[in-house]
Amino acid sequence: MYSITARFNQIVFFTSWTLVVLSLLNQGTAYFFKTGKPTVDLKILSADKFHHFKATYYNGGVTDWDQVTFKFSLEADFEPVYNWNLKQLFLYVNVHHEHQDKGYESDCVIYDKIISRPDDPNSWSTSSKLVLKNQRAEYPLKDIHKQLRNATVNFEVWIEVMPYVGYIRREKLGDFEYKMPQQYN
Amino acid sequence: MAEGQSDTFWKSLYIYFNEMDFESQLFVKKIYKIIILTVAIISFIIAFFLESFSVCVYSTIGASVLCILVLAPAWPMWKKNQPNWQLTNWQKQK
Repeated sequence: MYSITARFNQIVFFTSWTLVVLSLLNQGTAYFFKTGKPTVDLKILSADKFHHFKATYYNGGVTDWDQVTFKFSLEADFEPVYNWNLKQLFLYVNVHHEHQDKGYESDCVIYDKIISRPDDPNSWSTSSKLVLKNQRAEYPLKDIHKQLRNATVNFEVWIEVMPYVGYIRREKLGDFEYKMPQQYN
Repeated sequence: MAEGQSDTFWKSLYIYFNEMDFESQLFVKKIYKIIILTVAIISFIIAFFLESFSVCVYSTIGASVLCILVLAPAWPMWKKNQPNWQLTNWQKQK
């Protein structure tokens, strides 16, 4: 307290400590209130452009794969997850399939969306429900082993909860099975 | 400070804002903690009911900036109880 730098230093770092304690309280009280599991419903409408693709690299190599683009409709309600510590949600739809012969597993994200708080001025909507009708998936599902015909794939809807203060966690909201077509179309 | 020398303008300005008497140092040491803690607790409760944590953070930082502007430099209000400085030897000889 004997010099101007000592006084400045004490005030600044005391403020930093109070902000740390307040942030921990923020995260702590958010866990006591509302952290439920949202409900979600996913229907696969169609599997389009299911072809066998082939590409040639500039150095002469050749690779080929199966590729399919899905269309789906999704309904979800995120009210159980909203608390004052939530900044945004990251929703993504993951396709999981296993190859019978070789025992490989593969995951592929086909759609993602950022969902911000309803009371944010730039938010996409003022309600907590998400309704997607006849939505085309952003990324195609590709299989380098060409095992997609007549395969059973698993659509998983995941959510990544991003708070203002605290850990980022991922939650799986639902599993939906789908049988791929027999032949290419 | 030796005889015959004097400070430049910036150094004497720094010395002016640096020197604060002892009673007001005790007062400043008590009061900045009280101000910042009170503002932090009340704004946390208000922000909890308004569902927005940024109110709490901005008001705490604003209170600390106010404290820095008022309490850190030695304004004239913090120089009221000066100790009884004696004259130095060369000032006495004059």
